[in-house]
Amino acid sequence: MKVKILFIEIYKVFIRRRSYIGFAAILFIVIMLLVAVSHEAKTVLDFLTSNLKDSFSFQGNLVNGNLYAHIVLRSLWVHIPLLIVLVTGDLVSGEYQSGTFRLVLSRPVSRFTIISSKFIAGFIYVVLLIVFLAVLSLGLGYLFLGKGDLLVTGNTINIFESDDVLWRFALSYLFGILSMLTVASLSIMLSTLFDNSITAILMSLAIVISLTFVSTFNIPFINIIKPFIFTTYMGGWQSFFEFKIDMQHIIFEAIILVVHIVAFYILSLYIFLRKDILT
Amino acid sequence: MKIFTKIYVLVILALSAANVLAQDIDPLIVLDSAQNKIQNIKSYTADAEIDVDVDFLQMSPRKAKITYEYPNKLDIDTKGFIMIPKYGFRPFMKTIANEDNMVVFAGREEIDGNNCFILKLLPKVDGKIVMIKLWVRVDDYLIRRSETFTRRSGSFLIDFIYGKEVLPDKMIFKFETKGINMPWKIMGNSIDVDEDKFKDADMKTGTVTIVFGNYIINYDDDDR
Repeated sequence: MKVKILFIEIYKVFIRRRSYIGFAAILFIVIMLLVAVSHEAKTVLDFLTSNLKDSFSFQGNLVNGNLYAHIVLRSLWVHIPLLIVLVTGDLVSGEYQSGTFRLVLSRPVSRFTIISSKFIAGFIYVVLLIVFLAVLSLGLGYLFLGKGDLLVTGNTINIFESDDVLWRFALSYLFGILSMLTVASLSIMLSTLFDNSITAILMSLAIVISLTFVSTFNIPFINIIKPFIFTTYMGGWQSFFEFKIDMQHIIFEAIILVVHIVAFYILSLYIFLRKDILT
Repeated sequence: MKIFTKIYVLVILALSAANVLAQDIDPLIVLDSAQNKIQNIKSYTADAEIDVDVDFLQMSPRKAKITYEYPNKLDIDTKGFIMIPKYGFRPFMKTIANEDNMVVFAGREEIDGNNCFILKLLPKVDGKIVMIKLWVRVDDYLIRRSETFTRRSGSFLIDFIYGKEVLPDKMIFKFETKGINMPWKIMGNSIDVDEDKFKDADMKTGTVTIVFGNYIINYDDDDR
């Protein structure tokens, strides 16, 4: 019965048109970025290295599929949460609104099973969205721009050999999935709290945007509260594009995100178990 | 009074001897000998490992295959991206090989146990290079060190470390360069970046070390 409920929840996620908005948006942005990178990246790299050109000769192509996939990752990371909450913010509240819970809960199905199935269905959607992003950006990048060494800008310019790159992308996407699962959990929790989908989605968006905004600021007062905001830990994927990877710090960040996911899940359960379904 | 006369004569003799010793060194002969060492090499191939050490850039050492053919053909075959100091190969060789330089003998110096003549090459024609200072080993006339002063790009110091061949086993380039231009607006703001690190007003110093191996000098096509 539990497996059947899970399949029904997954089916419900993928039967709705709005679930494909995220995929369509990613496809559009990825293609736009491919055009932009193939036309503009050389100019940007020339500008980046213009001071060095007096002293150095460069050989090799840095405008390649790896650079493109990294630019996609960096550009989209702020926006993917917005695409995710469009779907996950509606998972529970959508059913409050349409009144289907009264029908479902009149059958011998536990509220625990329903909420757990909704979380799993939401998580599957998130994983598929990130896998889609990964396959699309790396696939299109390698197809149109070829392989090559990866240039990453941060506190230093890091240039990784092309053979040393794929595992970094894989771990970054894995960490990214964890970050996005945190956002999805928050929005499912809010979706459990509010009877109206729009309110749940907008509330999720408002929280994610404002917390992301706060966690990118560098002001002493804000720096004090940063450790207590989960969005501060969502950029941990970037650590995989450093030569000295601080695994302890990454594991710490991952644990913080997992704790948030569990907390949001338990809160959702608590809210849903005590909720009077009146609609 | 006699003692003072003797001391005076001795000092004059000593100074004259030093002057004669210095004048004995004809900078053109030293340079010719160094040039001959280079010009005898009509071609070579070598495996190279290139390691760039600059504080604003991190990359692992890269492997390359270097092919040189006299006078000025240099191919560097590598799988990935490499950075090579511009004044290390062609312009340096070209300036040294050029006969239209003013050469001045500038003394002697010992570098890591190698006794060297110091020459200063001043190109007569205005170009990118203002002066090259050369340390030429007394024993075999191999260039042990060079310092190139350019019009726009600061100075470059190259140490040549030899093994069995007349070509170096290792070249260490020390250079000054401006930092990098960071296009902040398009790089995104999701990372904490210390912008002061990138301010390009200050000159940064760096090192590029190239380790050579498997030399084939003056090869036939079959050797390649």
